Amino acid sequence: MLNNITLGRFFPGSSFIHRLDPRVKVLLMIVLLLNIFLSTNYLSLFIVFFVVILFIMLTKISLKTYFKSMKFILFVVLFTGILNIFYAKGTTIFRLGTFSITDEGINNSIFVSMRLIMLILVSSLLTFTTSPTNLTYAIERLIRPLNKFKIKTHELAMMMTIALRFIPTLLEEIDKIIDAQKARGADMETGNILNRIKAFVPVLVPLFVSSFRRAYDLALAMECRCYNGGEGRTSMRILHICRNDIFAILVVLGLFVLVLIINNLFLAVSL
Amino acid sequence: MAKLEIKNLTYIYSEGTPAAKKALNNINLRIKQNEFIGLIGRTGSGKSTLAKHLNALLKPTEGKILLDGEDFWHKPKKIRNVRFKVGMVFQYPEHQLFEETVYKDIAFGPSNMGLLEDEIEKKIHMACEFINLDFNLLYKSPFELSGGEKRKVAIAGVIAMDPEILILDEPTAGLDPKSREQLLCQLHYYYKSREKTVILISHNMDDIAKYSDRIIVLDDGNLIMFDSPKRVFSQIDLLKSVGLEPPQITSVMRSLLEVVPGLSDEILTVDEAVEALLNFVKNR
Repeated sequence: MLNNITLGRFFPGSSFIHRLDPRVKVLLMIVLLLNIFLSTNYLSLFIVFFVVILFIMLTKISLKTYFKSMKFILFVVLFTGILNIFYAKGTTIFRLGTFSITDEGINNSIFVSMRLIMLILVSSLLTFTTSPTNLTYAIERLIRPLNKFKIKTHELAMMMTIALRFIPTLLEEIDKIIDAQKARGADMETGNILNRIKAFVPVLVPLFVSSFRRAYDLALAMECRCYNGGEGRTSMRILHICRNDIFAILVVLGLFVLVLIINNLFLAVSL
Repeated sequence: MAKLEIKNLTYIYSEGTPAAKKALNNINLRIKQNEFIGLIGRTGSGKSTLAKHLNALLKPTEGKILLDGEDFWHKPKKIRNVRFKVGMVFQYPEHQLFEETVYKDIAFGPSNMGLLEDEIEKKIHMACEFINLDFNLLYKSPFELSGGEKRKVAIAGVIAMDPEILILDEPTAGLDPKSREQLLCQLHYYYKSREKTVILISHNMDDIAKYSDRIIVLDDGNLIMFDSPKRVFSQIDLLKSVGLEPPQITSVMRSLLEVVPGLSDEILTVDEAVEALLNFVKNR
C-alpha cells in the first residue's frame, strides 16, 4: 500500500552523479537551491532549469521516477500557482467579478510553480543518488564545525541515520498492523473524515508501542557493541574529493555566477 | 460441498513494475467444513500470501476464491463480511493490541461486526474460556500482561468473532513449550467441538503431523501436495527437495526400521511411536 512512494528513496547506481562525494553533493544542492531563488527573470530561470534537467539525465534514473516523486506535491504546486494568478497587482488582462487576472499574477504563478518543481527535482536528485548512510555521513562532516559551540554533531547525525533507517521498517509495520486490524473487521476505507481518523487509532497505538520497543532494543544493541557517542570514533569510509567533484563544483559555481550576471543585466535594462 | 474453494489462484506482487514477482501460481484447493488443515513450506514459499487471500486482505491477480460457493470479490463493498467469517491470526498477533483494557481489545472485532453489548460480552467470555484466559485479566491493560498472556488475548480477539474458518500464521512462535502445547490443544478442541475449519501455518512438522487432517505443501508459489499427513510425510525426497523435513519422530522410526525390521514406517507422532515400540517389545 505504501510501497510506491518514491519521494526520498535511494536508487542505487554508478552514474557520474552517484559517484560524486556526498559532501560535495549536499553543498552543490544548497547552491542550486540558491540559484533557483536568485533567478528573478525567465532567462536565468530556464538556464537553471536546463542544468537541473542535465544533472537528472546524468543520474541515469528515468525521468518518470522523478515525476512520480512529485505526484503528491503537484497538488500544492497547482494550488499555489492558481492562487498566485489572482493575488498580484499589475496590468489587468482579464476580469471576472471581483477576481482579476494580471500580467504580474501570471508571471508570479509561473515563477512559483517552476521554483517549487525545481525544488523537488533538486532534492530528489540528492536523495535518489545518495545512500542514507552517505547522506548522514556527509551531513555529519559538514556540521562538524558546530562542535565548537558545544553542539553534539555526531549525535545529531546518528539520530538522523537512525530515523532514515527506520522509515521503511515503520512503513512495513504500518502495513502489517493495518492488515491485522482489517482482519478484525476494522473499516478504514469508508465513512467520513472523522470516522477515518478514528479508524486509525487501532493502527497508531500499536505503532507507537512497537516503535518504543524497537528504540529500546536498538539502544541495548548499540550499548552491547560499546557505542558511546562520537568521541574518538573513526569511520570505515574516508571521503576524498576527486576530479569529477571539482568538475561538478565548477559547473554549479559557474551557473551561480552566470545567474548573478544575468540578473544584473536585466536590472540594468529595466533601469 | 466444499466450504472454501480456491480456483486457479495466481497472485503477482507489484504487478507492472520491474519488481513484479509471482507469489502464487495457479493454486487449486477445496477445503471442507470441519477440517484441520496444516499449511507448510519454506520461508518465502507463499504461505502467508495464500493466507491473506483467504481472509480477503489481498485480491487475486487471477482466479477466484469461493466461500460456501459464493465468490469473495463478487461484492467488493461487502468484503468485511468475508473477514467476519474467516478469522485470521497474524504472526506475533500481540503487536496489534491497542485498547485500554483487555476486555475492550477483545471486543474490537465483535463490535465491528455490529453486535449488541450483551452479545459481545457473551462472545468475549466464550473466547476467554476457549483460550483459557483468566477472567481477572479482562480489566487490566493489555500492555501489563506477560508475552504469553498477550498472545492469548490477541487470539481471543479473533476467536470472539466466532469465525467459521480460523487461520493462524505461526501462532506458537516464541511461546514456551507448555503454552504452545496448550494453545494447540485448544485450537484442536475449537475445531472438534464447534465443527470449525482451522488452517494452521507452522514450521513445526511435529505439530502439523499431530493435529492436521490434511496438509498443504507450497513451494515457490506452487502447490506441491495436498494430502493426509501419512501420505505427505511418506514422500521424504519430495519434501527435502522443497526444503522441508518429516517430523523428527518419523525420521527416528525410519532409522530404527533399518536395524529392526517389522516396525511401521508410517509413524508421525510420539504417541504412535510409543505404542508401536511397546507392541514390538511385547510381541518379541
